[in-house]
Amino acid sequence: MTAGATRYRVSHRTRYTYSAPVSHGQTITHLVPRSTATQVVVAAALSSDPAPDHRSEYTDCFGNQVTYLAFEEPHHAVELTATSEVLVGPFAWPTASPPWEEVVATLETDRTTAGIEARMCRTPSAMVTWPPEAQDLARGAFRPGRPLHDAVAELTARIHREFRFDQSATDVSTPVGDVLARRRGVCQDFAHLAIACCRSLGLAARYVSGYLETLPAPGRPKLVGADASHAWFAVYLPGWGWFDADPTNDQAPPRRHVTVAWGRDYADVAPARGVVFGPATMQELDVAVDVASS
Amino acid sequence: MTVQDHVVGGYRPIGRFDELVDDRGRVRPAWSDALGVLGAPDRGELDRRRNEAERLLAGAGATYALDDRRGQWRIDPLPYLVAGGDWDRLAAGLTQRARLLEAYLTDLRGLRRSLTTGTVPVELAFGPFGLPLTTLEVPGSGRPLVRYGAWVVRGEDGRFVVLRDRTDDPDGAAVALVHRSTLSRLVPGALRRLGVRPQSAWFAALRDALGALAPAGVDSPRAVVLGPARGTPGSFEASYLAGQLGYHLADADDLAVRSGRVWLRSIEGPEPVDVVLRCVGDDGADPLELRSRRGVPGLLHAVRNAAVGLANPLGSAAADDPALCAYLPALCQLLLGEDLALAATPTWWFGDPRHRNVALGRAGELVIHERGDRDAARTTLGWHLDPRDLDQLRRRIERDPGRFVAQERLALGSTPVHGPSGIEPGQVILQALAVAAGADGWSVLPGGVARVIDAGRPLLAQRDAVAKDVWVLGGRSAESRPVRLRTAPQVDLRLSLPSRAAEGLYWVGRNAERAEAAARLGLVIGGRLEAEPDLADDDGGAWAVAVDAALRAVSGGSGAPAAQRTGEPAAELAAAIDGRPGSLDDSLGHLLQTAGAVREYLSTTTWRVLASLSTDRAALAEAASAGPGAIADRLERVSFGLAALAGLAQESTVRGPGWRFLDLGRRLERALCLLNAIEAAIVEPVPDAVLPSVLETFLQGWECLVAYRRLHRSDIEPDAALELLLLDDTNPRSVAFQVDRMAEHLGVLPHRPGTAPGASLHGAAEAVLGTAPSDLARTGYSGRRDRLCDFVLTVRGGLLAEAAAITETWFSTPGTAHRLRQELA
Repeated sequence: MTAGATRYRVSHRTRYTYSAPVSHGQTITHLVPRSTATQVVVAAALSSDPAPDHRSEYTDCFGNQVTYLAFEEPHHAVELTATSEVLVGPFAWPTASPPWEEVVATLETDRTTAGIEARMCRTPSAMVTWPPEAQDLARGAFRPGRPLHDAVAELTARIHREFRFDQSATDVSTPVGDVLARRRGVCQDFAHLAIACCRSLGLAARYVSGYLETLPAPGRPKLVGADASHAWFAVYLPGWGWFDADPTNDQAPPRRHVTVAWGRDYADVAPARGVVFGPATMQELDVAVDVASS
Repeated sequence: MTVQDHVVGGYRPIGRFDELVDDRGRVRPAWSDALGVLGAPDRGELDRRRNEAERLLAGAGATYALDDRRGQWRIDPLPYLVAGGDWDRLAAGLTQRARLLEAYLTDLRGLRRSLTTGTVPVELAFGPFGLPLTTLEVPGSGRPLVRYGAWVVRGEDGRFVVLRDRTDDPDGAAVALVHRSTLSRLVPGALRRLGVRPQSAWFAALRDALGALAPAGVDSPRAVVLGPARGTPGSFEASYLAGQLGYHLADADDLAVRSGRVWLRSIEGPEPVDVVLRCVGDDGADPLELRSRRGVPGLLHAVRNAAVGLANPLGSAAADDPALCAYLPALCQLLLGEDLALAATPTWWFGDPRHRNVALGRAGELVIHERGDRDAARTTLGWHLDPRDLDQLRRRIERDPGRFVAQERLALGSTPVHGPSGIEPGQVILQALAVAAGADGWSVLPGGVARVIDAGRPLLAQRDAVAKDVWVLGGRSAESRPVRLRTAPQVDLRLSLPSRAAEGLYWVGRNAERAEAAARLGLVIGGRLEAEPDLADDDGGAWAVAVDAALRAVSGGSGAPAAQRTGEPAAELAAAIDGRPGSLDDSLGHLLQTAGAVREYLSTTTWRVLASLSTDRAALAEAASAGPGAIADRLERVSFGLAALAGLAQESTVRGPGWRFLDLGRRLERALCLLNAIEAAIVEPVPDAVLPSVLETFLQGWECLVAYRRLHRSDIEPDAALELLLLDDTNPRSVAFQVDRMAEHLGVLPHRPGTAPGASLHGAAEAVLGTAPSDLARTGYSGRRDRLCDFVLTVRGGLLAEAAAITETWFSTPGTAHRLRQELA
C-alpha cells in the first residue's frame, strides 16, 4: 500500500480555557487516527497539559480509537495535542454498482457481519433526522435505476453546488432541517445532509471525521476546512464495502484526506466532548490543526 | 338472600369474563371467601375504608411531595385478587419473558443470532430506540438485566396478556409495599385469614441481587439508590426503596465519577460506591456518554472499568420497546427454544416493510404507540380518530415509520372495584415485577400494583389512576416459601451520611424550629388578646407594639424599625401565619418540602405527624381572617404537631450524625429566633410598666413561664426573666443552652481535614459566659438597652458565622456540571 501512498504529519491542538477554575472534569476524545483499508497509522500520540489523573484507551464499536481523560485537580485550562504520522493511499471507489433501489432491497435483509454493521447507519440517529425535503433533494440525484456510485457522486456535487459554505450559519448542533432551509453550512452540516439524503431512501450512510491537507500552491484555490477538523460521508455497497465522498469540496472520492474515526454522525465521533464541574460560566475553545505531507 | 347477594346483587360484568362472578352469575370461590373475610362491605363502608386508606397513605408520605396539594394518591379499598394457580402460571410466563429479554440483550452484545437469522431487524435493535452503541462493548459485571417489570391485563377469555415489558427502570415495588401495609390495616387479619402470599422474601431477593452486582473482590459492597430529582414523580419510589433496603438515597448531584469509579459525597468526604440501584432511566444516567439530560457524568466509564455494578445495567432499556413485541414469539423460539408462554398482543412495527402496509391499512382499528414514550402519553387509539385525523396520523407514520408501533385492540375481562354504588365491575391493568435470582433464575414479586383503567385513555396511560393492591391467594409457591438467602456482608453505615442528607436534616431542624417559634408566640399573643381584648390599647399600646415586633421577627417581617411598628396585634397575627415569605405557612411549607427530601431518614410516625401538619397548614389561610381566637385554635393544633415532631426527634432517632445535623439546625434556629425577637421587642425602650407583661409573653412563648414561677415565685422581674431566657444553661429554651448543644455537636461530628467547625461559636459562648444577668435589662442614656443590644449582636454574629462555616464544611458542592463546547468540523 505504500506505493502511491502519501505520508502526512498531523498536529491537532485543542485548548479549553475557563474563566474560573473548574474542580474536576472528564473528556472523551476521538483524536487518534484509526487504520483503514487505505490508511496506515505509523505513529500517533495524544498528550495533555495538565497531565490527566486518569487515562484509559479503548476501541469503540466502530473500531475507532477512543481516549478517556479525567482531571481531578482544580485547573484553569486544558490543552490536548494529538500528533500523528499516517500513510494514506488513494480512496477506493467502485467502478460499477447496481441500481440504488436494488441496493436498498439487498440491505433490507443483509445479515452478513458487514451488512449488520452497515444497517446501524440506515436509521435516524442523534444528529441526523430529516424533514421530507431531504428526500426531495436526494431524488434529484438518485433517479430511478441509476447505479449507486453515480448517484452518490451526483448528490455530492449537488450539495456542493446548491449550498454555501458559511461558518457563521451554524453551530455543532444545527439540525439537518435548518441546513436545508438556509442552504448554507459547514463540512459537518454537509456530511449530515448527505447522510440524511441517503438514509431517507433506505441506504446506509455514515459520518467520517478527519483532516484535509491544504495546498498553498500559487494559483490554486485554498481548500476549505483546512484549519480545523474536517468531515465527509461514506455509503455502503453490499458485497463491495464503504466508499467515501466529500460534499464540501465536491470530491468523490476524496483526495488528500486523513481519516480519524467514523460513526453514525458527529455525536459518535466528536473530537472531544466532556463535562467539567465548577462555577465556570465562560469557557473558550481554541483549535489549531496542521496537516503537512512529505 | 345472603349478605353477599346484597353486596353484589346489582353487579353486571362488563365483558365475557369476570373475576367476581361466573357465567351463571354465581360468586366465584376466591371472592366468596374474600367477601366473607372483608366483611361484605357496602357502599358506605367502602367509602369509609377508602378515606381511611388515603389518610394512611398520606401518613406514609405517599404523595409526590407532601407540600404538593395536587398529588392526591387514590386507592381502592378492595384488593385485586388472583388465585394461586393463575398467579403461578403468570409468574412462570413473566419469568420466561425476563429470561428471553436477558438472552436478547446478551445476544446483541455477542453472537447476534437475533440479527443474523433475521428474527429481529437490525434497524430495530440498534436504531434510535435500540441498544445505545456506547454500551455495546460494556457488558458490565453482572447479568444484563437485573430488574424486570411488565404491564399485564386479563383478556376477555380470562388469560393474562403482557402489554409491555419494562426493563429500564421497572418501578412499583415501593408502591406495592405501601399499598400492602395500608390495606392490611383496613381489615386486620384479612391477609392471614385469606392466605395472601407475603412479599418480604422478594425484597430480600432484591437486596441479594444487588449484592451480587458488586465488582469482583469487593466483599462488603456499598450500595446506593440513584433517584430522580427530589419532588418529581418517582422520587417517592426511590426514597421509600432506599429506606426499606437500608441504602443511601442519592440523586445525580450526590454522586461523582473520580479516578474511574463512583463516589458518594458524604460529610467526611467522598465515599466509594460499588452498586447502584438505578431508579432513573438511561436518559437520566450519564450525560457524558449516553446523551442523558441529567445524570452522573462518567457512570458508563465506571461500568467499563468494572468498578461499579448497576441495576439495571445501562442499555437495558433496549428491551423495553413496544416494537420488539412483534418479534418475541419467534425470538423465544430462537433464543430459548420454547413457545412464548403468555399470550402476546398482536403487534406490528412500521419500520419493518413487511408489517408497514398491513398496519397502515388497519390503523383506524389499532392502538398506535410511539417508541420511547414510556408513559404512553402520545399513544393514539385509532378508533377515536375521525378520517382526517387518521389521515394525518398515517402521514406522520410514513415520514418516520421506525418511530411507530401498532397493537391490536384488546377486549378485557372485568373485576370488582369500588365505585359510586359500592362494588362495581371495572377493568384493571397490573404492574408486575421480578428480580434476577442467582446465576440465571428470576423471582417474581407475589403481588404488584394494579390500576383501575380509565376507559377513555390508552391502557398504558394509567399512571395516576386509582390503585389496587394485588393479593395472590394461597397455594404456597416457591416465591412464598421462606428462603434462606445468602447474607451479604454489610458495611456499618451508622456513621456515614451523605452531604445531601445532612443538609436536608439540618434544614428540617431549622424550618421546624422557625415554624414552632412563630406558632407558639402567635398562640400566646392570640390567646391573650382573646382573653383580654383591651390589652392591645393599654399603656398606649406599648405591649402590643413590643409583641408585634417580636412576632414579626420570627415570621418574616424581621426587625422592623420603630417607625413602622404597627401595634395592631390582630392584623399582625394574621400576616404572621399566612401571606408573606417567612410566615408560619411559609416555614411549614419549607419544613414539609425539606422533610420530603430526606424521607428515608424519617420514621413512619414522623410522617403521620407531618401529614397532619400538612392538613393543619391548609386550614391556616382560612383561620387568618377569622380573628385572634380562631387563629389561636389553629396555632394550638400546629404547635401540638410541632411538639410531637420535636419529641420524635429526641426520643425515636438514633444519635448518629443525621440526628446531630437535625438538632444542630434546631438549636441554631431556636437561638436566632429568640435573639431576633428580643432585639425587636425590648432593645428599643419599652415603658417599665409594660416590660414585665412583654417578658411574660416571651416566657410563655418560649415555654418557661412555669419554670420562672417555680424558680422565683414572684411577678416578672426583668433581670430574672432575661437571665432565664438568655443565660440559664439549664433551660432547654435559653440561648445559652442552644450554644452549648451546638458546641457539643460540632465537637463530635466528623469533618474533612483542614476544616474547623465550631471555631466561630467561641465568641458567642464567651459572650454568654461573660454577661452578668443584672446588666441585661439596664438602659443607657438614650433609654436603649445597650448591653442587651451588644449581647444580641455578639451572640448572633457568632451563630451566623458558624452557620456559614457549617455550610462550607459539610454542604458545599464542587459546582455544577458544564458540558464542554465542541469543535465544529
